[in-house]
Amino acid sequence: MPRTPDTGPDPAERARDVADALTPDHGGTEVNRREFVTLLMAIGGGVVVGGVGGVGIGYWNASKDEVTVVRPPSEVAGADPEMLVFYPKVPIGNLDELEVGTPVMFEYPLAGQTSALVKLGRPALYGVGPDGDVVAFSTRCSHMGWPLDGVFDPENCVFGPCPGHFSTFDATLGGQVALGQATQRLPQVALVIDEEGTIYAEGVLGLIYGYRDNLKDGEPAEVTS
Amino acid sequence: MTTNPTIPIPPRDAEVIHIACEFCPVACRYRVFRWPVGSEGGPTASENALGVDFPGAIGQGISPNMHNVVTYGGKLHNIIVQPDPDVDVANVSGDHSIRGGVLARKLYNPGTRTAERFVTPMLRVRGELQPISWEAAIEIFSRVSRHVLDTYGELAWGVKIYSYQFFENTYAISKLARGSIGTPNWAPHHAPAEGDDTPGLSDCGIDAFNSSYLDDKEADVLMIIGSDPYETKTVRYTTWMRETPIIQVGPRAGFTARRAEKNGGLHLQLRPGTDTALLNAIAREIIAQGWEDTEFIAERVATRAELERETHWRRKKFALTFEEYRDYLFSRDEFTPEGAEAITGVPASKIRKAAEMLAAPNPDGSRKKASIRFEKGLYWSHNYENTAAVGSLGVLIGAVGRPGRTTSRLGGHQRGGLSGAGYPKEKSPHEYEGNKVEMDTDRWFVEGNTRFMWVIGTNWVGAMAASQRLRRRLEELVRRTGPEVTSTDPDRAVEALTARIDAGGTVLVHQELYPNETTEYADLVLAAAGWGEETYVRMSAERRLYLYEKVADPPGEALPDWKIASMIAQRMGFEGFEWPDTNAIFEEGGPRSGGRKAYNELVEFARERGMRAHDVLKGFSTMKAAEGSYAEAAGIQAPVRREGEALKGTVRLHEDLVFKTDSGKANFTLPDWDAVAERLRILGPGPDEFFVLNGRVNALWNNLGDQLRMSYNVERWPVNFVEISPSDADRLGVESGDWVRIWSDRVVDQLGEEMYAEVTAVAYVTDTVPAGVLFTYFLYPGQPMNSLVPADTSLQPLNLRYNFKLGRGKVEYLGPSEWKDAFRMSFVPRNLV
Repeated sequence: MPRTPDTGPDPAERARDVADALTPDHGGTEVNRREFVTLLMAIGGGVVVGGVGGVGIGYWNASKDEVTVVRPPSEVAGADPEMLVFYPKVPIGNLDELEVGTPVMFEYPLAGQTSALVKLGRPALYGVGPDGDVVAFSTRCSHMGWPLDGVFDPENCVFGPCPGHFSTFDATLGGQVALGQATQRLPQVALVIDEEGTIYAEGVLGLIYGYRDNLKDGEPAEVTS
Repeated sequence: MTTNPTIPIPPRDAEVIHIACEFCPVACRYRVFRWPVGSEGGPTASENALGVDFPGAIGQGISPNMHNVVTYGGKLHNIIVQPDPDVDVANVSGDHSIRGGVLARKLYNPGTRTAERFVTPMLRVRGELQPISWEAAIEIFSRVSRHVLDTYGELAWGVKIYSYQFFENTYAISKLARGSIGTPNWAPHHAPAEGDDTPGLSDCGIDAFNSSYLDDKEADVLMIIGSDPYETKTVRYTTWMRETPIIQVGPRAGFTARRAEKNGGLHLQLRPGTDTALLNAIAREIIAQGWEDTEFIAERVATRAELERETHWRRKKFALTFEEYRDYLFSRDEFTPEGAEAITGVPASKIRKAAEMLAAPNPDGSRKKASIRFEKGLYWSHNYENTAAVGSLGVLIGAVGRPGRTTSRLGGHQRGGLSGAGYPKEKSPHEYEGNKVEMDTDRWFVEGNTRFMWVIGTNWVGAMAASQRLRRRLEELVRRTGPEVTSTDPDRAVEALTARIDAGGTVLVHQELYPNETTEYADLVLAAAGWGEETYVRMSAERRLYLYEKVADPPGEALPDWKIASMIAQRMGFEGFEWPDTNAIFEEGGPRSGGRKAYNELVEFARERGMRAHDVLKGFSTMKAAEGSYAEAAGIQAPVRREGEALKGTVRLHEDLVFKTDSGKANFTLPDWDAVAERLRILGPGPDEFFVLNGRVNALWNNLGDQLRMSYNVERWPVNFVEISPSDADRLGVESGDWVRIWSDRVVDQLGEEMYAEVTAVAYVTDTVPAGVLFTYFLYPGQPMNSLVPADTSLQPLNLRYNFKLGRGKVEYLGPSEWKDAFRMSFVPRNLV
């Protein structure tokens, strides 16, 4: 069930154009997180392209009108190169409505994928806004999926300790596991802010707990903002 | 970390393999799905081997770090290594720690940093390690060993070995070294000498691993000394201890301590090294209130007449009756609550409260179910006295052999270490008051007496005390004595190595997965296979025997340790090493597996049915406690017994209230404060020095061979850290993220001489540590904090153990590190509750 972004080129066509443009540098699955984020954040309207097999990933650079494929569907048997999906760019809130330390819940990109948008009051890795302190994270603990809703600690800027098994994630550091049992960071929602202060979600860094692919096995979340 | 946010799902026909975790003593159970690359399962329960409809609910998810691509049978396979959601012991419902959750990534995949594994044997030629054949490596090892044994005797031929490793490996190696060769120059990875880690507890007659995790849950109160179980036995804490009120005893206010205080427990934040005074004070208060277990003491604690008939020299010297123990405690003002407060810093009111929580009768007059747990923070400071104090307290309140009432170690690692031959203590050159004690192998080496050293599965240099003295001696004895090896030709290599030995030098062999500091001095490297690369048996801290099935091929030419030992033994002409596989070793070891490891009934059971013993054990892998009993689920708890036609496990030891003494009764053991006070006077910090404590944190495991090759660990802990209190940090002008150096010119080395040592670390300012106390990781590569730990075992002559938890040093600010403001290493508090 492919979805299209609110802007951008036809994904299937775009993927065909670039499927054989894979470079050795981006050929593996071990893409450096910083590299990924740099790509994602540096380009307005950046997108991630996902194959139906859950394996095609790339970035569309709107300003250059280019897509860089990190891992094409052709690498994995069963993936259909005709069928690509993008992370949608959707508004999730406005800077004016955020109070420091008070998370606002939203779902992204699929219904049920709960996340928290929060202005931390101190600069954060991948933070946006004039103070670089607006971030958003999945609120499914990356350890075993317990809900982190309501356990944000504004003084220390951490999500946790998780009520399940006490993992604690540093919101200023890309969801790094400060203490506990999770084997990956808390997935961070990539954000951009426009001139009016509208905050958009446009990607997720890391696999949301319980999913095999953040864009599969569910319906798109309703746009509420 | 992998940013590709997808993972392959195992198809319905994926193989399922059962295994337990490699790391901490809890030994959580995992299941492995293995299938050839190129196919995937679908998102509905009927389309995948997980039986999960995606997206998965709580506990059904797979983290990207649970996936890897490995070689098995020479072909590429996907593997998912998932905490087993079907088990109802250990990690009930698929809980896992940050260590076990990445087991898949431990296995060899040359696209990751596991490419740094040793893949062939190597010989150091003109300073460089050159790949050589196994044939050449075994020949060089055997001929040089023979020269040492013939010329200098077996005491010059030493082994430093992981004591926790799989039964089949330690059996094979000990059979060769302690049996065929007969050397007493043998020490485990954590101590300079073979022997008992908890001698004071043993002298009370109590086995160190007598309890089950079940007891943690059944207890009304749990006293935990010298360990933060959330950090180091994580799933045991989250699954079995989380609802039990905890009296946490230790200098650090970590997560467990903070949460205990908020959940009906206590934190007794004592000064380092004062455990004996605190435990004695609690015991005295219990007796003062009349709360001791009088029935147990009357019936199952030895009288003076019975103690007189004990034969072991230590028990003859230190065992006490109840009256003698009571008289000792009441003879000293240090053991009043106020007296102990002055020594330990723990308020007298908290000491009284702890006594009440442990032993005051319930309103209906029944006894509380109290259990005591302890680990290295206790027994690696004042080894004998602290373990005597804890054992005696356990006996006093009758916390032995009954549900929820046990006194037991938590464990630092799993229980492997099956012995293929007894330790030849009679050959040890070391003794105490005319009684032989196990040989201090580090001292022996530093004195220049060891000519051949075989280091297996440990970073000897960094792991032992006064590390920088060890390193210096290796430099002198290995690198700077005699000629260097100039050829891979075995004849020429043996000639050069024996010439070095005859010039007073040492030859070092390192058998490992990855290079570490010890490898820098290795003449010969033997490439070993590890967890998941062979089928093995090992047991957990509750004595649960598991079958660890093979998951993947070892890399390159790497071989399992048992196989290497077998090849060496046969090359040296010893008999009894011709095993076809690990099952043959496991079966041979059955009759030697006494005490808490006893499993020979399982071997006999298999033999009667024409089965392999490994296969009988495998039959338990999928059994559930809910369908049978706790002792026979996912594995079987040793000692293994027969009941009619069935094999039965043992939930806890001492249930018959029979103890490991000549009389079968328990006793008290002298918790001698004077000995502690004298040692603290010698080893304690001066006015401007800190206690430099070291230990583990959640994400990190031992020498970090695996952990620092996984990117998320490197991001979190890119260098070693040192916890420093806010007040000390203020005084020294240090902030989180600053480099500091920690140094001491009073490190007591293996020979009792004071030496200078220095290490660096990044400061982590936190109220987890009190003023005057530092805490750091014990074995971070390149920053060996054990350099600051005293190594003179004459300070603990009863039982040669290091005072790992009594390091000392001064701190100096160096400047900001790269991690200070770079959004890379978190410095948020790790004790938030």
